[in-house]
Amino acid sequence: MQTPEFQGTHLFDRLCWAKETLEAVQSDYRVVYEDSIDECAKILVPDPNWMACALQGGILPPVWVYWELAKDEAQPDFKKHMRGHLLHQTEPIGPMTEEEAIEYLIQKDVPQHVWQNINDGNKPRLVICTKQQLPQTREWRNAWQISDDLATAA
Amino acid sequence: MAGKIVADTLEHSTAGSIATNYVVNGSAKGWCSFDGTAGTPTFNDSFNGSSITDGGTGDQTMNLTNAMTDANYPASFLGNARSQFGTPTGSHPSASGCQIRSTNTSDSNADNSFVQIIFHGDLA
Repeated sequence: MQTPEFQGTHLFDRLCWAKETLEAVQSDYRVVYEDSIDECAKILVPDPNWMACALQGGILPPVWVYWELAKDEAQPDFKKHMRGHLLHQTEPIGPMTEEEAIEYLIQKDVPQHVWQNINDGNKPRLVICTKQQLPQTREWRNAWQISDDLATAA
Repeated sequence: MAGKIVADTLEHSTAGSIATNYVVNGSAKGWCSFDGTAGTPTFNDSFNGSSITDGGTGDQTMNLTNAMTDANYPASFLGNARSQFGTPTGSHPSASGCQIRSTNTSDSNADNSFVQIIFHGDLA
């Protein structure tokens, strides 16, 4: 299935097309990260419909668009997004592999202070793993941490 | 896109008419349903989401692909488990996603097997 020429098309319309056209892709990848030493590890789970868009290409904006919007939202006087057009008018990026999509998702949905300082500190703060490598039940969920001796997947 | 119809009003033969901005403004802009009781959340279906951040027991955030225009949008969510109910925390309002907290009747966080989150409001 060829992606239509979407540059300049509202991102929401592109997502509508994708929802109607593409098969959702359940990824086995999970991203485990520690946002704060006072909180348990967080797990990022990719949305299957989003993953289908990422693999298809021509739908999602480049990740820097989200960084720009995040910068705007971090301003103390932020009221509303005035640069939402970046989502719609920036040329969509091409197809990604599943691994590239996970890297994109980390840079979009994981706090920047986590992935920008991934090699700082005495232990990994972010690990990419598979669903099967995580506990299969939520027993003691609020005590989950990244193991000290776990090598980072970078 | 092909098949585009531009109209300001929709009119029914007997039931009257409605301005299309009611339809546009009133439509949900994002939604998802997932099982929050598995080891990590498992999606049932979704629209306009990029991921779920599982922050612990009864604590999940739906991250949006097309962000909302501001953090003042209404979001609602439901959980199915008996004796459990949910309230958005309101602690992390963001145009790019919404955090929810599911609790039991003792107001302790608890996971639901069928969580539904719905966003309304204006898109960025």
